[in-house]
Amino acid sequence: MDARMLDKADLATVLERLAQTRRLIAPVEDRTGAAFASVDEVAAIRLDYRNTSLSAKEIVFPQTEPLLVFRDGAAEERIPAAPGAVLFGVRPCDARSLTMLDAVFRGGETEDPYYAARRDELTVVALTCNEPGPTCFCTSVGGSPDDGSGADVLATDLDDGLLLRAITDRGEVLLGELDAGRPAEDGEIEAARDLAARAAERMENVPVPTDAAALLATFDSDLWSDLAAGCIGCGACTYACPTCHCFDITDEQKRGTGHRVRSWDACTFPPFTLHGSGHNPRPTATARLRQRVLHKFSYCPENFGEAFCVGCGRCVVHCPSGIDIRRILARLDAVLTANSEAGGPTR
Amino acid sequence: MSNPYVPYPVRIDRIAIENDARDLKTFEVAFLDAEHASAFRHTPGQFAELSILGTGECPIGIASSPTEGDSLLFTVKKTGVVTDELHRSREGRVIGVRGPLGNGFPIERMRGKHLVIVGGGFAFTTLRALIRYVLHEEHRADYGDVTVIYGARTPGELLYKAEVDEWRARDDIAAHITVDEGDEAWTGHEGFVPAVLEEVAPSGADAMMVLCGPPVMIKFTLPVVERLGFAPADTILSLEMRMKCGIGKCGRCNIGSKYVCLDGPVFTREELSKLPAEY
Repeated sequence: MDARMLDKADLATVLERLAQTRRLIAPVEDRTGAAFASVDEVAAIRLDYRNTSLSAKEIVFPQTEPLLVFRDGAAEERIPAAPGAVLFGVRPCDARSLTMLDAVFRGGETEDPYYAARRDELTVVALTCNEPGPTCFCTSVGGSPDDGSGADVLATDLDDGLLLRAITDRGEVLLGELDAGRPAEDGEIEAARDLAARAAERMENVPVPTDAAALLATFDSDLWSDLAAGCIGCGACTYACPTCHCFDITDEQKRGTGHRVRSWDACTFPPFTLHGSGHNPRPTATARLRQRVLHKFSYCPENFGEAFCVGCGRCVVHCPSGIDIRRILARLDAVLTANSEAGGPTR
Repeated sequence: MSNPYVPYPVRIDRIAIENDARDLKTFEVAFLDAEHASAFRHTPGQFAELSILGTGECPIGIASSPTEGDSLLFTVKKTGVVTDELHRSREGRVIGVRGPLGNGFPIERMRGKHLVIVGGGFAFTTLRALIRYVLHEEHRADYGDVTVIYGARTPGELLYKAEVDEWRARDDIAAHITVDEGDEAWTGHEGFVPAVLEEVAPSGADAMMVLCGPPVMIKFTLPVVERLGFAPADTILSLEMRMKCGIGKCGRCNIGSKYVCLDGPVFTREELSKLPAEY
């Protein structure tokens, strides 16, 4: 596969040119630090960011989007047109989360046409991490600072140059389109690998329980009320999470015209599972936090073969109560390890 | 590929008020487009999202059997925003249907077995679909004895009264109807469903049990089901859960790793025993 070295001084020109034929989505500075946005002004792009405050999932799964438009009783679907978008400079954890969202929205018996339309047209350029953030733990959940899952091109910041490595056919097409820089040298590829390895070494190693069945066996344990202590059900973790994908569908109408809208929802909200009868199968904050954790680390491994966590650490940053998924995982792991050594059930 | 979020337009052809409280109505709907009617092939026990543009959607069990033709029946309790709006409907109104959704009753695995169908309250709707399916002349010979036990709080709350009376007159189905509390006109059985089941005492040998009803009925009926010798794998329940998409994407209706909309709503007791009791 193609690997090119791009002089940073040329980057703006190259992206300018790209933005003329493709929709360019990239991290730009905002009040939260950096956020993904459709870029018209290439100068606004910043690649010196640690990670964006919110994940990149909204590119393929917007916080809110119309599914249907209706007028006078007739409904019309609204499949988004997203020709040839490029998501430039997303971190590898977020790129990897796309493979998980793919499994949900594209897998199973029915494909979600809204997600598929955006995803089909998306080329992903992931920016490998030279410096992990304080809450990063991707290496504990199967990722790495230069993981290529979900990406088409891996970009690495090598001080004065940007190394671009195509890792899929789609990535190859993009590099061909950019038509810039010079072929990368082996030493530069080696340098990129070293940077990622050093970043990985600086990351905390979180013990993550991997036995889905053993985790499920903790369901009735008192441990959960302890782990959920302080959860106020604000849903910030789910909104910030790149793999959380639960949504609501609601109708909005004004004088016979309206939309059926899909919007992000959160399993940590009390009404999420509230029945019309008043019955709520998850009536407590403990039950809801347990759902969020077990969904990611037990149910998803069972259904999709891997935990739905990419170790971005955003939920840790955003939780107003200081609930830390790394501590939850470590505690669960300690309990499961102690149990398996004792050969007894989880209490 | 067709869009799973777009409902099929259907017209409400008939509305029947089912109970004295007038909060249960059966809606007979017909597809506006014949192609949609043939695309919608359901099994008893499946459900659909009923859709009113501008109001929303709600998941409702299909009360009709596929043997009854292209129209569909839905018996709906007036409970929330969408069901309130449905109850305000007049015949002729066009609404939407998305489905069929869910797995349905295991009608293939039930073949050759005696069937004991136990229902309480308005959970009886999909059981009606099953009974109608089994009683159909093309299917009746595929199944053994059919025993139905159906209970409601009062005579006025019994669904499908005329039809249930017909079943009681037939000799290829044993229908036992009971109410918690009768009135002056009631000459039938009085008593709770578990007690009636114990009295009728159908054998669990070569038989399958299908059980739908309010949680309290299920709770007190299951011990009787066990005593009669129905194995957990042959005891079938249908669950309800708050839902949105109905196609396993929105993450709302899971119990452990199973989605009620996809893997259910029909589960055996054996399957449920492996899941957390979060329903």
